Amino acid sequence: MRDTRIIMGVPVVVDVVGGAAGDLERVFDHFHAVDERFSTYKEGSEISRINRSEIGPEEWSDDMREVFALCEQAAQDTLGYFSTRTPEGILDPSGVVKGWSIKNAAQLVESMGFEHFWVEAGGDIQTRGLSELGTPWSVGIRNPFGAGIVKVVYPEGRGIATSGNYIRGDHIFDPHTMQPAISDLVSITVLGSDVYEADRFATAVFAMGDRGIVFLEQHPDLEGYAIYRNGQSVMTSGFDALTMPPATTLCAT
Amino acid sequence: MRYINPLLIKSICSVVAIALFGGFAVAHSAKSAATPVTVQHAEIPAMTEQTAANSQSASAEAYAPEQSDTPISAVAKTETPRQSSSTRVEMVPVTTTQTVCDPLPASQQKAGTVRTRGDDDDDYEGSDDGYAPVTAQSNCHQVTTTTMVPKTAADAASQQTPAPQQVPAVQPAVVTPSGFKNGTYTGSAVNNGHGIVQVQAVISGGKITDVVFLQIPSGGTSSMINTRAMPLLKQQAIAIQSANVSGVSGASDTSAAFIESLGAALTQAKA
Repeated sequence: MRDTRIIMGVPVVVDVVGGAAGDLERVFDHFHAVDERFSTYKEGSEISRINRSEIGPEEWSDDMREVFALCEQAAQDTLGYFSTRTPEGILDPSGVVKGWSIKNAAQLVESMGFEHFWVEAGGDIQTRGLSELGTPWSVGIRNPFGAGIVKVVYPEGRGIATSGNYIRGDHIFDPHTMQPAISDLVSITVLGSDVYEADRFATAVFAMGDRGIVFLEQHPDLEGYAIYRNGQSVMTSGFDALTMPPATTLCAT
Repeated sequence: MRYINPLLIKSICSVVAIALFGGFAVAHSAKSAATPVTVQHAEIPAMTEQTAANSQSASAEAYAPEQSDTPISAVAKTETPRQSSSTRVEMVPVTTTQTVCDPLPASQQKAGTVRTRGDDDDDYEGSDDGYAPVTAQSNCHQVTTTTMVPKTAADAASQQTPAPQQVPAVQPAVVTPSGFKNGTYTGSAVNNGHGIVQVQAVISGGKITDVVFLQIPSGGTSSMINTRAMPLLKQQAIAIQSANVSGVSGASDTSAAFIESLGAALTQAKA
């Protein structure tokens, strides 16, 4: 069963093969709880209260602590290109929260006993197993210049996340200069061992501009697909293999 | 295997000075899905102790902004590595073979697979600016090189499995007697005449497990792709695919965020 809700400002898609409405509801509730805590748009959220200095670090929730520790790690792993502070000085861990919450949602679905599902928030996706048709899950990479998709990827359990500026404009900035990341990069898709890994790198590599794809190539656990303003794309050496339909084992489970 | 630009060596030098006294070698395993693993060794010349930043957060601050108008670098020139003069290190020859291909000449490049930016751009010099060159290659040949590396590094390299799969970041390796201190160390930013080169070394378990380029001569991906450091990146024009997919990955839709935000504001306004 599949459903889509708008939570955390993005479409959240939950597709659980063999699941019922109540199962999906539990997953959506999880995302609502994340939103209540981490949304910088919600005045009463924990992160908003932190930004207004209403609560100090000793009063942070365990989830908040965990997320900020992950943010710290992400900054290290991305040479400082992952940033937890906006140019306006607001603490915003959303670069990690999205992938983290999807990963937790996937674990929730697994704990409910399901082995085949698709959990997504705003284009960041974690899949497991096979679709309802018994075929491998397939993800289309959106054409940044208009309608349609430009690549089909078979993540096979990997996480996938795409960062781009073709809709929001200059919302991605380079933390080293605190200016919009200026480059001809329009969209970059990251595949990692899970959606948390893909997501935390996706924004950072976009801020790296032209060198983002190089960073991904150097990283042994990541693959990437970058699209530039001139309509050219550059992909890491292992990306092509992910665009080939895998052999389907219908009798897998 | 190819020799490393001495300025790159200088950057690595400053890195490992923090972690180690004496001569040493840096091993970096190139990731490869289909070709044999290429192991690059850099011989480090005389060392000086430095108190360079070795904390994780400082490495970001030490990072200089990329100079986007710097001319593109050509392939780094190679130079015979020099022996360390501060500590005697046993050296052994290491021979490696690499497949190297030349990109097709411009006349044979198909429309749509060649960069379209930079050809007429006066801000860039040379032909390898803008974006990556074509995927098609010609004149593929084997290049065998022999170089002298510290014995400990050679021992470590020989223990790696030369499989066509991707090489994991952490390899079993011999721990040198002098050892490295665990952590991530950022080398100095060195200008090689075409831009800044800066590397970061990752030490875990007392061994160098990764060397990462923090900065490369700016001007676009092509400067890395054209150098044989990144021969496996592939470029192609995007094309609309017709396919049934389970879903789509793309940048977030801002209109949803607007609805969400407005909804939250209106909810509060109700009170």
